Amino acid sequence: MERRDLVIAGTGHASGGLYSLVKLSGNGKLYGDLDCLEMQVQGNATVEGSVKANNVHIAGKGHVTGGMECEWMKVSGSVKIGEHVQCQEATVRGHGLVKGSCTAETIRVHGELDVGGDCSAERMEVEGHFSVGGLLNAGYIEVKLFGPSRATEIGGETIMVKRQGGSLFKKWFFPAELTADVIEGDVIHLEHTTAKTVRGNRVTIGRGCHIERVEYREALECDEEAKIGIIEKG
Amino acid sequence: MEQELISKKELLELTGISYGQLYRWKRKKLIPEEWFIRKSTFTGQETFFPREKILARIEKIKELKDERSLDELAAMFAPDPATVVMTKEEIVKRHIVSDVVLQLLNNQLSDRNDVSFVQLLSLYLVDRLLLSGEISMEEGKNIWKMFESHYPKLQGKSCELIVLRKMGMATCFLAEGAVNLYIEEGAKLAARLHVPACIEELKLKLSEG
Repeated sequence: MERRDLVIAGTGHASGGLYSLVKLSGNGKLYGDLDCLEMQVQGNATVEGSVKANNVHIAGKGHVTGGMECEWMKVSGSVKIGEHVQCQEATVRGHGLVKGSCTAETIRVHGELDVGGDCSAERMEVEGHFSVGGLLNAGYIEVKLFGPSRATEIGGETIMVKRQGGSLFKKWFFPAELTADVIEGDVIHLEHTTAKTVRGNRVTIGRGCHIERVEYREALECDEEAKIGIIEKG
Repeated sequence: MEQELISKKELLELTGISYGQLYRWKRKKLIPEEWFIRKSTFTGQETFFPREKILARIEKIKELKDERSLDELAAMFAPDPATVVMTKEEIVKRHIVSDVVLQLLNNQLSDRNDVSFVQLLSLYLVDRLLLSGEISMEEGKNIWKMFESHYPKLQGKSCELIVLRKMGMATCFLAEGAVNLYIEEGAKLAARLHVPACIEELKLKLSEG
């Protein structure tokens, strides 16, 4: 099938289908599943269906009611995806909301990411805050906390959680803290984290942590101000 | 069947792998999602695994991970039948099944030359049973027919192939998932094969080339 371009400039709507370039500037709406090589949104776009593409670039606001499958995704602004996301590289500057699960090689977040289900990646870098409804599973996790974050379970090779500065107002009302039930990894460095259980080979518990139970194998370093319940060497 | 479980912690201690490796293998789908069994314990929610399955799987991953990429391993462990089509010559050349079974195959598809994965799998299962002496040639043919016609319906789900014998008469069937068997007196469980495990063996044989 031949792939043709679809350009909406201004306000308009079209059906989904097979396209080469889909460019929506302004207010665009697509009805049906979309399969394209490149999708560009500048403004406000809604896809009533799923999106399959090589490149997706959203500057502004994007809403996909179905799932999203792409190689490369860049969001400056906000994106809302109704089902699962699968991609190679995802960069979100702004706000990303995924109701299903999220699978990617690399996830970079500058701002906020909310994933309803599980989130797995080889590398995940967050500068801001996030929430993961299920398991956050990544090879390398680096979080620079700017606001309240949570995950039910975090597992991976290297897990680094650090707090960055912020305004006094934000510190008071939206404390930059991570909450999780279980955090497991080979190398773990935590700051300002509240967790029931932390398990790892080399564990560092830094400032502002409340951990009910820490299990470690090789090394444990604790900050004086950290509150730790039970420590066990296994 | 109440399967014996192993906790994540005990698993790591026994096998000597790290949390990172376990999570990496989970991400790469080397360990199926349904083996992660969540249970509440006095320390909160904990993850358990079916003991025998996970230990065997981790042994195999450790044994093969230096020779193969994780993606290749994942394809091998995937329960869905690989889209393999082989020719009769290849099966002979690679010694996947014994000559006796091959003779059967020749009679069965006299003119066609290519063998699908399901056909190959049923051949392989029959071959295993024949070699272990659990069934006779004639029973093998029946098992073969039964398996080939019913297995595609299971669509890659876990199942067991069971052969019962009473007073010399054998009957075979496929059971989805793991089931408890209670057999009448005088009847004998002639053979019981876990099909996904056989698929793994077969895929390993195929990829060895």
